[in-house]
Amino acid sequence: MSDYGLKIINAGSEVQIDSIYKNYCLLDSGVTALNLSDSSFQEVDFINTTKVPIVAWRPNSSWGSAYVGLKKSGANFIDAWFLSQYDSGGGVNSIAWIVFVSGNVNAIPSYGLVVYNSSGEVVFSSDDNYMRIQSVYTGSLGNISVKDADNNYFILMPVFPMKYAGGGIHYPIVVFFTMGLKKVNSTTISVEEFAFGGVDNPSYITGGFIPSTCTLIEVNI
Amino acid sequence: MADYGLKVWDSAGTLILDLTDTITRLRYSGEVAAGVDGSIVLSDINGKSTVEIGVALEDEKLPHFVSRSGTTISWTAKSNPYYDSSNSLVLVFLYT
Repeated sequence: MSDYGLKIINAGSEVQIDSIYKNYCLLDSGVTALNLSDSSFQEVDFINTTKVPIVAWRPNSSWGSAYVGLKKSGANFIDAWFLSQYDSGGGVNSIAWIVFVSGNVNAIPSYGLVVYNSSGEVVFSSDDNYMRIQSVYTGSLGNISVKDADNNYFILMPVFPMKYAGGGIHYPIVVFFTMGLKKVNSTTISVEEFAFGGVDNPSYITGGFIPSTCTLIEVNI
Repeated sequence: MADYGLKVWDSAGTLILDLTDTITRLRYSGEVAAGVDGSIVLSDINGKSTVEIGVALEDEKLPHFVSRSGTTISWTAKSNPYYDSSNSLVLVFLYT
């Protein structure tokens, strides 16, 4: 069947809205203090949804952080999981986060613009706030120039690559590393490996894999 | 070049879509089983930019690694002695 309906092209000849695929709009956002001495997945609660969520976050300049997964309860997505850079002395690692879902969240407005697909599902509604991509970077880990590290949010791929390596005579004997984000300044984000935990009685000393390249997507609403 | 496209304001008068905005559309999502590799061909993404993400759906486990080659999206299970493979959510969204 040929497509029908509406297609909106922006000034860069990119498709913004069509009548097939659902756009991503704001579901929830907030600020969470991750625990620096917690090496496990830390839960960030967001509004429960059956729609497929995208999670982005904004790191701080002191500690690394990484989005690592989604917790479900039945058909609902209920939490995002984050890892914090580890510090045995404790303290907090404050991050800002935002969750987008496809279609719409708010009630259909009585005026404005609402676009449906052929199944009668909303793909765009003018009473919702849609995720706008500000920049896309693909390349090596390290310092990456961004538009606004103070206010925008970031999606990092791949999600939760992990390696482990011997830490020598110091606790832990084997240290766990992942890839995450740290703010450098208002226009620079560092994509870097950080230690999030470890074990003191290891059966395996070295393994796992963190790639040397990544994709970083800067978004806002 | 003259601008074309659509500007959309919400009921509060806030511009929520401008002529130059790049916004995203969900092309594919699916849940894949722990330890199982797979792929899917999405022929209509040819020539378009996508983002592919694999996200763990189980606590303290590793998600699938998701990649794209041409119009094929592939997911590969990851595990190691300390972290098992997770059931994962595979997402592909379009931004052009």
